[in-house]
Amino acid sequence: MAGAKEGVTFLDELRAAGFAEACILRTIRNARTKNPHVIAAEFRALR
Amino acid sequence: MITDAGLRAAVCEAYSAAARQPAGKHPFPVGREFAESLGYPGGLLDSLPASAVDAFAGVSNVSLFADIVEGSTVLDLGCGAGLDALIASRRTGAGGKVCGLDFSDSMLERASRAEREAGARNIELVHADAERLPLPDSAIDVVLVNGIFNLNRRRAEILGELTRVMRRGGMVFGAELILAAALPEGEHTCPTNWFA
Repeated sequence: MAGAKEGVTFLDELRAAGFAEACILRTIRNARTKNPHVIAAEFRALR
Repeated sequence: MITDAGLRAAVCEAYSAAARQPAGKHPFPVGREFAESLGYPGGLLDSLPASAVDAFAGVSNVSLFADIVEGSTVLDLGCGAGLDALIASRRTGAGGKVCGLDFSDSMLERASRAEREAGARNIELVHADAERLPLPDSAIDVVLVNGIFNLNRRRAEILGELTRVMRRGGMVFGAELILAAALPEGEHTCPTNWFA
């Protein structure tokens, strides 16, 4: 969880790495951790 | 602050422990009930080897919502016990192939057993780090990645490797933990919070 970043930051990382498009498809319950600051997101990126 | 090498070893050991004893106590949920809670249908899980289902530890049902065209070459980055790789194997069919890659030998042992039990002939399992993929350039059509970026500080290197091994027009489908709000001071540096 300590490695999680905000969604916008994560998408920027994908684009900076060379992905032409990146988007979050939906956010879902974060079932892995109990931290209230963290959610889970499904995403897609186009090379 | 924990070093990169220390973090890698801690993460690998945590997931290896889940592979060795899925029903044991772990800092994250593991197994069939958890997979069903994320939307993997019970009937589908019934049709897959228990060795893969019992040690599932992802974030979402990535292999179900991904667009996987029959015949495509799929990389399951951080494949763990192989649940998503097995589903991708079915979806891409005999004309496609799946590379399941993980850094935990214990998880790969489970995935290998599951692959044999399922009779999947189009899966290749690879032991490697996500930052150094032993794959040629432009070889992959679809990447599945189920919750590994938040466990690794070297994510820029991982993303660089993904862009290298993917063909142009290829797609990544993934699930990842993201922050809904800024973490309180100190939570980034506490080693136990990498799993909390």
